[in-house]
Amino acid sequence: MPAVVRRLPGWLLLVVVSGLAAAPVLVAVWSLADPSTEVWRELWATRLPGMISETVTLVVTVLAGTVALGTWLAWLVTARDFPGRRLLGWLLVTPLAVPGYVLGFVWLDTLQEPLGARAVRSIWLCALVLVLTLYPYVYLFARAAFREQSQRPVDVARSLGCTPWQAWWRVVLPMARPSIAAGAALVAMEVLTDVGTVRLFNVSTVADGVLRVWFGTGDRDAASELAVLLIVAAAGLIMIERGLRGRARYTQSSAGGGLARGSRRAAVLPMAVAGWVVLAVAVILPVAQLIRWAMQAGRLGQTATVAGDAWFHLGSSLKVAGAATAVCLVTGVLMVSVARRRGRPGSLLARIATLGYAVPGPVVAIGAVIALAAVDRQRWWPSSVLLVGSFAGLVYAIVVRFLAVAGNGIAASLDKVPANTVASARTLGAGPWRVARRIELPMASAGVIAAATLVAIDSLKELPVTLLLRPFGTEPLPVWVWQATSESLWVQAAVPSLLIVGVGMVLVVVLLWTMERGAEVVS
Amino acid sequence: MSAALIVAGLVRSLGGRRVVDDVALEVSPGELVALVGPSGCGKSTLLRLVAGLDRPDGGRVVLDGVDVTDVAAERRRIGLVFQEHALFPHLTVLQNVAFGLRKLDRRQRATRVDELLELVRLPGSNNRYPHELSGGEQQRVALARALAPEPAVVLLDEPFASLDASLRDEMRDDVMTALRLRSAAAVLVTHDRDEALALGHRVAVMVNGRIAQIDRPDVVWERPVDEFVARFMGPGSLLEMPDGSMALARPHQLTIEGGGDATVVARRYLGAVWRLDVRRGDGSVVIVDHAGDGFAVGDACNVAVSSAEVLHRLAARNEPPERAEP
Repeated sequence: MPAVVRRLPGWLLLVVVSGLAAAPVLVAVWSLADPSTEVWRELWATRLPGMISETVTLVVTVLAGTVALGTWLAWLVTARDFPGRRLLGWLLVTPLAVPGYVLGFVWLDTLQEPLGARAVRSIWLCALVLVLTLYPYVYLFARAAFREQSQRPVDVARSLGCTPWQAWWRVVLPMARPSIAAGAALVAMEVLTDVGTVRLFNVSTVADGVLRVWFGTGDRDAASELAVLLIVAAAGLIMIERGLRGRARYTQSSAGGGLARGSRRAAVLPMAVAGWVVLAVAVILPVAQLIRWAMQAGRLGQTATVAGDAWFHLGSSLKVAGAATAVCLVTGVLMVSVARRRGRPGSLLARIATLGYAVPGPVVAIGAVIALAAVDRQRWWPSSVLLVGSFAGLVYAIVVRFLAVAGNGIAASLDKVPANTVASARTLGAGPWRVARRIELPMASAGVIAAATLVAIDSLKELPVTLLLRPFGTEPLPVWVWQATSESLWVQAAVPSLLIVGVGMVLVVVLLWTMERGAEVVS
Repeated sequence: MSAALIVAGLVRSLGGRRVVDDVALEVSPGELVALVGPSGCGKSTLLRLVAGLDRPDGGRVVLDGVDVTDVAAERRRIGLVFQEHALFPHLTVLQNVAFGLRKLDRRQRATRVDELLELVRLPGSNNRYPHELSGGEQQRVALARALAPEPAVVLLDEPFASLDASLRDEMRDDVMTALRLRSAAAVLVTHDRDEALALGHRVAVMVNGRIAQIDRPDVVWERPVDEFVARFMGPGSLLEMPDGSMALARPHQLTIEGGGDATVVARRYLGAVWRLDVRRGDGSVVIVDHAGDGFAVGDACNVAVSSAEVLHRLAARNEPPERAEP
């Protein structure tokens, strides 16, 4: 078989995957070619400036908060020693399982009495809730960076006249800066995308505007044009993050052995207590409250909706998340394995396929609806099969959104397989696929599982895509929460929230387990 | 007092073990003391105590006549050079070298950095980043950075261990030259006995937290205080003398001749001489250097002490602390 023919299936796979994955994004951007409608012009004149300023305020505040909190907590568990340090280090990841729109309504209700119904719906509380749910991204990145560092640069800095504090500011923190920036970029993306939390606190961001226009006026063009604003903002963020890296390369050649851990009791104990307080506010107290409400809902018989009982909704959520994870995993492994052997054009196609993650959820959702609806209208498409509102359509959109999470994680862990190991296998007569099956994937398994777990957590929580594309007759958990909370029915929202958090916690435990085995979740 | 560094009665216990056990050491300005010992002997801990990065449980550290035992690391005026992880990866060469020069203004700082880069033979690389440099170049920058604030003492912790053999010799020469030009006192920690012998004005052999011997390199090599130091510092044979004492014969102190009840069991070429392992009639193996290709494995031979040599008698000692590789 000539080489060209043998390589054809690989190319075909890459082109098809990247084409399918990029379609919703391209469709959304395409809408710009057909310029402003009435709604759009009116938006510019009335609400848009406010939306932009609220979005910017929220993004900046949450960024500052997550960077400060995440970095500080990472420093606490890597550079200080106190009883329960390892346990706290683990537990501080668990807010990943609590979506902002869940934490938001719990605190909203708790603070309603002391603050008053009006004051409680403020952008600052919204920012606080987002900080408490999103800081783990910065925390994970910063912790990995601190662990990679060595005490030696600190020692050298001390010998050159720096006090411990100056050494921290001038050496440790700058060296961790690219990692912290990468975590912060994820946070910014999540804030840009968020629709559930901001709606609870009456903060009108651009993402929220997209959904309001979509549901309120049904003007698809206006909504997708608004969505393109989000793409521009996201692209800007990615460029800022790249720019922050600059020419300096911060990663160190070999493992650093970590920073020395200070353990002066008087100084460390109050900080350890503060760490536990963060955990209590972000996870422990809210979950306790959810349990209380859920029991109340059980007594009142409010554990079901018209569509079905809680198990039915949990089932449909798990089905979607499971299918999306499986598709992401298989596609990701195939895509990455092929792309690695196809040089520059291969990695470019893989890059295109992972566009969805750099694009906010509402945009993906709208793009996917438009693209799927276009297919539904085609004459060659069987009219009895509708993609919009089908299980397959929802899974497709979620895969588009999170394929990058799987792809990046898989690629990062495959990159860690030493080239010499692969070379040894090849000289022993193993072909590329046998190498992938017997050497690369087993060695990268922790990273692959970690990537899959992250996709599962993300798909389970994903609100905007699920909201727009959920199959008829089903109500995945995020949608149930959304509908209950938009009518301030906290007790009813507690059951689905608790289910999301519960499944999420299980997944976070899996994630932590793979991280203990050396998976780099944060690459 | 003329010593740049005085360490007296220094003690440090970690996990119930005396890692540094009553160590005394004096280093004069311009002198380089090589601290050598097997891994885990406490040499790096001693270095951290001198640098002020760790607190001793007892003893004093005196720099330039000033007792600095209770002075923080950043105020001691000590230069540190490590094997790796040495440079700040986020700073340019210029910023790295100038890191300790905060009291100078911008222009003075740039001048000083240029001087120092000249000194370590790396001029003109001011704006490069550490990862753009080779291993040897990085180590030069680390040295320039340590020398920049004109420290009283420079501490070098295995500075050449991560370099290629070919690069290592060149780097050793350059480091020695730079230290001499600055007439800085230096302590070089190494586990490489050849490096210690080649670079140290004096060599201190550290065993189990104590300095077993400190003396000129040739003395430490030819007249070690005990069997452990003898074995650790290099190849040699222990011969039982007629009076029952043990004597150390380095390979060059023995001669070999054909015929006899000994047999050559192994040989390797060292460049100038062949080094032969010879099993003697009583079963003991001795090591002999021999110029020329005269003996092959299996040849019968006889080994004797060269007429010009007087062998060093080792002090009687029951048990060496640990066996080192001969």
